[in-house]
Amino acid sequence: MLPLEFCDENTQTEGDNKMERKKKQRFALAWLAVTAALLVSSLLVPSAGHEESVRAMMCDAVLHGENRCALFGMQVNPALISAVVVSGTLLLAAALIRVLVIPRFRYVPGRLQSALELAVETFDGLAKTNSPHRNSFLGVYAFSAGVYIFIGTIFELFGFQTVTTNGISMALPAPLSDVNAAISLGVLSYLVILSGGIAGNGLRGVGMTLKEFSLPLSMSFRLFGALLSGLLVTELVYYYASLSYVLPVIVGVLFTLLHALIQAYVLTMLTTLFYGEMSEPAHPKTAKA
Amino acid sequence: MNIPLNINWQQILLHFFNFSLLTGGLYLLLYKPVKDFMQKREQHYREMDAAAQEKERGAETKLQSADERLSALENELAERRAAAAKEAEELAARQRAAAQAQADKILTDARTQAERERERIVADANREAVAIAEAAMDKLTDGAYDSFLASAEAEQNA
Repeated sequence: MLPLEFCDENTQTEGDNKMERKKKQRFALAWLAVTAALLVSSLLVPSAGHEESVRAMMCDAVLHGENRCALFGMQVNPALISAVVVSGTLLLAAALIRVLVIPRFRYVPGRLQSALELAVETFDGLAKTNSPHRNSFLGVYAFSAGVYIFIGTIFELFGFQTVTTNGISMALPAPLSDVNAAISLGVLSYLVILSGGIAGNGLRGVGMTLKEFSLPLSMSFRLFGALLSGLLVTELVYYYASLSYVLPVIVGVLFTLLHALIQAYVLTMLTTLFYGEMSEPAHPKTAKA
Repeated sequence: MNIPLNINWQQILLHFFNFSLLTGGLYLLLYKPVKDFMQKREQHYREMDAAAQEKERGAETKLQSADERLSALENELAERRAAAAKEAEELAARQRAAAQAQADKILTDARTQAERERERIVADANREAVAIAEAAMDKLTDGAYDSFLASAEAEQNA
């Protein structure tokens, strides 16, 4: 025969489980009702109509020839606004973390501390592994480039709106879906690699780095192509209302997250790898027998 | 110059500027403090590890010293045990020798005593034999000698 206390505990646990199940059911019902209401309202409310054709929209997504935004009196591509917003957000978040979180770091880390340490350690480890001779600046560069690419890519998921100089409202794209941003990051990565070559091998390092003259081009256009493809698919999906249900969950979220990770990894990996190769001190030639 | 793909040098430079600002900011606000903390923690655990190793070494030294002392004690004990056994054996040998000497002495004394007793008995027996012989002689010669002496005196007188 079971003790009385055990029976009481058992009954209480069953009661708790029933309550939990009821709560979940209620939540599911409410969620379904809200979703259905949104679906119905989106179908009932008339669309504003397309202001530009899909061809023009896609062309503009690549070239940013028409839809431009104003920034401090300059006419810039919307991706530059995105870049400024992403950088500002990242710096603000970093400042808040510096003030509020880092002073409370413990030797046994919590979740946020673990995530921050993992981010720093990943890029620092990447720099140390691929460039064992010289890596202090490389770690910083890989960290900021990785974070910028990752956050910048998933930034397009939020769909923050901006108004162009033509008065059209548009969602801010990923910063690196602009060829100028991709070129700047690709060239900057190449310059970092060049600096590694100079620091490690002097003039010989410059020669070695210049031999890889196609690097800035390949890095820039790899980034641009990857990010642009994501943007184009998303633009295409959202262009048609009928495609805007369910499909964006896969196309928009999963693909964006995936290529955010992949592009952050690829660029930082390539930069650290080439930096390590260029900064490696030359081995003295052994005399041939 | 009309550059294809709407490439704009000004915007490239603005992106450069933006990214360098971000890199500097992230380095100062996030990367360096987190890395410093991680190094500090690593140093802390390294020191803990060193202290633990030092303690372990100390404990091992103490254990070794205790073992050595135990071994020395065991050796000393064995030596003392051997010395005691040797001493006991010597004592037993001495006692055996003393007992042997005593036994020999007792035997010698007994032999001497027995010899003396025998000599005394023999002497007594001799004396008794002489006395018996004298008595027997006396008995045999009693009157005959006197007759001899009387006859001798008579002859002389004659």
